[in-house]
Amino acid sequence: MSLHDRPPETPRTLRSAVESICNAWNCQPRAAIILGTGLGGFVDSMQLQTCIDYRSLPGFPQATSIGHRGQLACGRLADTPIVAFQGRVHLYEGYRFAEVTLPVRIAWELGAEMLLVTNASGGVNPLLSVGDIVAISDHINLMGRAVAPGSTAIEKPDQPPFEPLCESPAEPSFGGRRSLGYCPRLLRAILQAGRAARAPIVPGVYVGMLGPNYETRAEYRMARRLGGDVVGMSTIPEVLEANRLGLRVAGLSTVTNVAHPDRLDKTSGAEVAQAAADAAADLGRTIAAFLTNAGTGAPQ
Amino acid sequence: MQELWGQIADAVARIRQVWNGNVKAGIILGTGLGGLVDQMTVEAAIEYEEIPHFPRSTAVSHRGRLVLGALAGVPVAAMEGRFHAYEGYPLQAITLPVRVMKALGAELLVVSNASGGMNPYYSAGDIVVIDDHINLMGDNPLVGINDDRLGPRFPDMSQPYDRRLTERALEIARRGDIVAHRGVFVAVLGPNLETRAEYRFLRLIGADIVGMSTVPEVIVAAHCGLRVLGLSIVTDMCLPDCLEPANIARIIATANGAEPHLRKIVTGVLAAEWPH
Repeated sequence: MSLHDRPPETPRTLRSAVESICNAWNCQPRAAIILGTGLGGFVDSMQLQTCIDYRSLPGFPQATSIGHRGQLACGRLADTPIVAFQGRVHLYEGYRFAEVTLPVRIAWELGAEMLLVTNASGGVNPLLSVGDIVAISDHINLMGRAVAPGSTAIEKPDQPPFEPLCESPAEPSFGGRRSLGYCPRLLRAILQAGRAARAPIVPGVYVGMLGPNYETRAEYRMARRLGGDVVGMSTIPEVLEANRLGLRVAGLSTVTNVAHPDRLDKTSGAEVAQAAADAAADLGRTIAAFLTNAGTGAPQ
Repeated sequence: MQELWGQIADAVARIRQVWNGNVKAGIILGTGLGGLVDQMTVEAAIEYEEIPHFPRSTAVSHRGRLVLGALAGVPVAAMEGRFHAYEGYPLQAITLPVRVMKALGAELLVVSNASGGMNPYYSAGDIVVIDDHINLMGDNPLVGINDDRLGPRFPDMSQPYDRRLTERALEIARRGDIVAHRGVFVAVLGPNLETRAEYRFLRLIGADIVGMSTVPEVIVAAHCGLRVLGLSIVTDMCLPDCLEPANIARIIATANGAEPHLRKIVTGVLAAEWPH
């Protein structure tokens, strides 16, 4: 089936995907994590209880790009129940906004309180190094496709379209369209957790481009001049959707290459995936420390 | 992108019915630049509507045919008239001719356009040898599931415009006493021209000239491994603090006036790449 013939998502497809997950893993996750390029290895640090192949989830888009597996890992990390989407789909693969953001709606339906989005990015801030972790403080959307034409995805229903199968999160302190995007409290907690985990972590601004080509030198300079620290091709759709639903969001980006537009080296997908995999241990420790703090109510 | 492979084969098969040569360079002629074809030894020409899967050119001052023959003794395929995103065509359709030229044997792509000059050191009628670009069209011709037979999923764009061709073009301009600059091109969707605030914005992000084409073709050329030379004629100056309403007739007249310069650069670069 070509990408263009796919049926649109309906409340029913979302419900049946959530049902399949609840049948396989009867637990309410506190956090949902979307794992980006090369970060699938994070799952090894979880106490896995079950893994659900994306193909067994009705209507779930299939990842086509390198460095992305396609399964939902359910289990515990630092004693906290979590689900990790191991592999994501991107707008550049031709998927619609509504499809790219389906995992976020699933996380919400499962009752998660927060969404952790991760990705691999190119640094445009020259102070960054390969392997650094950027805790995303804000983003600039240059993807040209916040919402697909004709999509109703941005309209938040007053009520979920049906009775949630799992308990829904308490009314969030941030939410709605004028939300803060990335929760400042989570940002502080993540930075603290990263330092505790001895990970090279700094706050920064993420610039989202549609891709799939890597940026030209002129585009890197533009991203820097506009106030960006890292550039990538994902994350923003999920964050917009999480905000719409009232899920608190934290974003972590591993810097897989640093663009120096005045002496730019070539970038290859394989190198990016490798650099991300190398940084996965730091990322895993950071997330574990963050969830530990969140779970024990340690100061944030 | 899965259907592209078959579309390329269909288009090539149709072209092969009228012409059996082996292309070395592809040329895309932009607004007002169609005259370059007069310099060619034309062996065959085929209207776009006769080529399967090709869109039709609807823009002002664009014919709509693929001309096959020789320029400066080098076998070329020249697109007399190009397609724009603002005409409503998907970028994948707009860039199909680039892939077809590659399939006909092209190693090199010359793209030309008419642009608005934002760098205050430029003047209407100057040539800009495009050094780099910024894609602000809000779209990309490579969106979709990648066909690895056509090119990589994540093409590198650290140097989409070939350094050697760029240097050569500037050298030919200097020898011919042609005013030519090295500049950054920014592509916007159009079709309206930019507001003053948009010109300031585009200048701020590092662009020297602005237009509504070329970047999709160059992205696809990078994807399929063509060396690219980008040439732009500055057809009007877009200085936000003394902006005049755009006059399309004058823009086309400026493009036509500068066209001999462009012609000299293109033939000079081709002759230098494939000396007799």
